[in-house]
Amino acid sequence: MKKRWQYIKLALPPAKWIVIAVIFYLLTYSLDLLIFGILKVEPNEDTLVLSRLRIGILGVYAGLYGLYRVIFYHPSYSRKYRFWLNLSPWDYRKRLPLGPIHLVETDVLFLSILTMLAYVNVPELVIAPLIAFLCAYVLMLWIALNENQGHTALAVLFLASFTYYPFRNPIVSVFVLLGLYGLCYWSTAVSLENFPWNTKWWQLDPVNELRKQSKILISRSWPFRYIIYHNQLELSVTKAFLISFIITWYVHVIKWPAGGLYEWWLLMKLVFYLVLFRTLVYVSMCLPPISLLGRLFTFRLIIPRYDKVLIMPICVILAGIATPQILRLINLPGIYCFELTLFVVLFLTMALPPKYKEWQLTAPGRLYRKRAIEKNLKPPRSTDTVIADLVSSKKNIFKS
Amino acid sequence: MINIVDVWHHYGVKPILKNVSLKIETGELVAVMGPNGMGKSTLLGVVGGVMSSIKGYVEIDGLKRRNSVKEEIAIRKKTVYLPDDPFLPPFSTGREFLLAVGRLYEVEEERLMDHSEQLLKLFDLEEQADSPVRSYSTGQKKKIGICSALITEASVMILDEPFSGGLDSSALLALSRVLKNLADRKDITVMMAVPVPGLVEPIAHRIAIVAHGEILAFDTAEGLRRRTGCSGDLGEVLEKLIHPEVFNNIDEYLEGRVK
Repeated sequence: MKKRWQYIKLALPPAKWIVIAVIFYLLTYSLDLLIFGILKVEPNEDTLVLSRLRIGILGVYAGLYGLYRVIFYHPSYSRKYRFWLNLSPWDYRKRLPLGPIHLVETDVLFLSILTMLAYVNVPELVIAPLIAFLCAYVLMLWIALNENQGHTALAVLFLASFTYYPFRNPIVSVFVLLGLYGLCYWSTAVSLENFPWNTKWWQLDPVNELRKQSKILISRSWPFRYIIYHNQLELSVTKAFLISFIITWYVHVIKWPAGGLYEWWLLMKLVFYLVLFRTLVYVSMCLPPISLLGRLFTFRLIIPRYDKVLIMPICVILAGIATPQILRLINLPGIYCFELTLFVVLFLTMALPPKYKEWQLTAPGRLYRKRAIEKNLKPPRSTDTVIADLVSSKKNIFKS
Repeated sequence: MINIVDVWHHYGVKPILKNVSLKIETGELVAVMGPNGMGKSTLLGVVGGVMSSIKGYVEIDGLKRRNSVKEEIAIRKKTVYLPDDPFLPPFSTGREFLLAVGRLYEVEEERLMDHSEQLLKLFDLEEQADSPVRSYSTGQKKKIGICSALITEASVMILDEPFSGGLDSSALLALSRVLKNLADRKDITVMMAVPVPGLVEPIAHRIAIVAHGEILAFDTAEGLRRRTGCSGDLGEVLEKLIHPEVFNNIDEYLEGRVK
């Protein structure tokens, strides 16, 4: 029992943070003292603001605590911790040495205090700190899941919409968040079973880690930059489908009910920017092999291997125009037409060929040397430089 | 082996390369020579993979350049292309840059450390090795560029004017010795553009003369002499091939002055 208490005690934030938080919270009562004690104002609707302010502070505390509980204890968030764990005899059956990442009694104690304080201030908002804590906590667990538990992360993202839709009820939100916590925790436990990880975020092998960092340095040089090909923008058809589905689903959840002219206008703008963005990414990587004038004078109006980069924008624009017309023919309500069109447009933008990696490696054009970027390359600013700049700007202000 | 087959290239209307075909065997060092603006750098750029030909293709060890993802990755792992004005990351040190390039080519870590030390010593960059590249002089930047190509230990090297750009005499000597050593090896293929004939003859197995986007000749130095009937230095041979009228003009000028 004693051992367990010692372990769960690790989850508590440092004492000085708690003291600062308590002092700051108590300071808000000095306003009460001023208003009700010295100025003798009768409690009314306006003075309720003070209670709501305290609820806000409690919510922030709970949210920060949620962030703290994952960031400071999850090996995903600390490189040093991961390497140390890897070198230690720890395995998933043992407790994490820095403290637990699952919810423990100290969390219940901490949240109970915050909830009690919330009840004292505004009883209707008693649940606010709990929701703030769970949102922050689940969010951080979800971010950590993204690398090696991608499918669960997608499922959590989808299920998270039920905190808001369709009931919009805080009690339902809490239950959904607890369910999400359960799912995230189970998935985290599975990922800890497979520790040590070797993923693209971090490499276990120090040589691979060095090679990964070298790529970052090399990406600022020419022509070695072009040797590196990036897979970050690489999306499989399934992934493109799932991402489009989730975005459309969230539009459905947040905008429900909608589908007016303004939304259609936004959708058209979105199509335009998506098309422009993807085309620019591809064309800036590899410029056309010959100029427009060259094409005209040499009668090479179409260069199929290069011009396939235009397939996507043409298809997306056509789909953006044709899909709503077709859907209207089958008398689908406006909102569904809107959402399905959005889905089709997003899916085509992400899924249509050429793939980014294929384009980088085989596009028949000129690899673009970004001289303007080379000229304006600035060193990364250290904290010291930022502080020195701030000090000098303050000095200038005083002088003037 | 580098196989350039029927390559055409033009940016606008005027062709830069016209029907260029060359076959460079494995282990050969070939110098590409010719007047300025005649397509040497474009040819090397096409072989190096930073641009594609409008017509024709380039093969490296039997793999077609920019043809398929698999082939291109295989080519990139064994080929290094160094343009005449590479851009080096200004806020990294020379040593960091060399190590990063070596790691990019997956050179074994211990070997990489050794090789970088040797290269920095060879090109007299030991003192500046840990200073940011932006503080380097033009010649020092050129040296680091050359070192970065050499540290890759790639089996196919495409070097655009490695001797130009402010190299001092000791660096010129070091580079020509290194290239001579590479030329003597049977597993490394080097294709380089060099404007100065004097530097080429001792190291190049064969010389390709490019003018107006075409290959005027592709032979050994001796072969070029036989072809032009000129027994002088390589510069004269080159002029005979590219500008045969230059000798008449010189004679005419000198005769006129004597009179």
